[in-house]
Amino acid sequence: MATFEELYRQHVQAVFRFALSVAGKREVAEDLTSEAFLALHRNLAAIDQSQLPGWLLTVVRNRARDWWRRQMVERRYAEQFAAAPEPEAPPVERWLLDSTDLKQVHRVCLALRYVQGMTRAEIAARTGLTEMQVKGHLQYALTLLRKAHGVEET
Amino acid sequence: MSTNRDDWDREERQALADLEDQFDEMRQRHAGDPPIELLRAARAQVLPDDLQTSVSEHLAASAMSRTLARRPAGASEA
Repeated sequence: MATFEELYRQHVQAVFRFALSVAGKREVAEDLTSEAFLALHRNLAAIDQSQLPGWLLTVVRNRARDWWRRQMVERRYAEQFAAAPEPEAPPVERWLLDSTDLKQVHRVCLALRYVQGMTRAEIAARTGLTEMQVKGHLQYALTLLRKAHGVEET
Repeated sequence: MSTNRDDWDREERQALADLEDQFDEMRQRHAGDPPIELLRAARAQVLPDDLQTSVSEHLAASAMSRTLARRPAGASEA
């Protein structure tokens, strides 16, 4: 049977990445990860270690649900994001979403950069890519954009 | 969230110059969309019920948000 320290070293990265993916904020993910391992520490003698890291991820998932519930955004988002039909998209949006030349990573980088106005660092923080990777994907995607829409290179 | 073009380099400005109207239209169309963190949380089914329902409905109606909610292949979870 592994010690708590061994289990922590073995699973902390995966638990943190999962927490970040469901909470979206590094500081919250750190809290969720800490809570999961605190729960593990309290229940170490009782749990089946073969259930790890799934047991830890379940704790994170439940805590994340509580965290979102605590956010006072519920009512606002519930009203704001009710489904509404999208008006006709401009050609460049249809290209961004449908072009078979683009990979998913290009679509995400393009949308975050030029629709949502994020910096490369902000995109990197949300995708797990490095800033250099983000820059490379954007450069490639812009080359395709130019070709698709007849923008002259100068 | 800003759309600060001062952050864009020369290549970006050139590539987007002739398409600026279309990108402006895209920004307006998606100005009220949920943030990517919320989209991904909804995809992971970790939101409270009311919020999960509304964001899921939004995802069903918005191809752009569905694109953002999916994790790019090769990217680590973030």
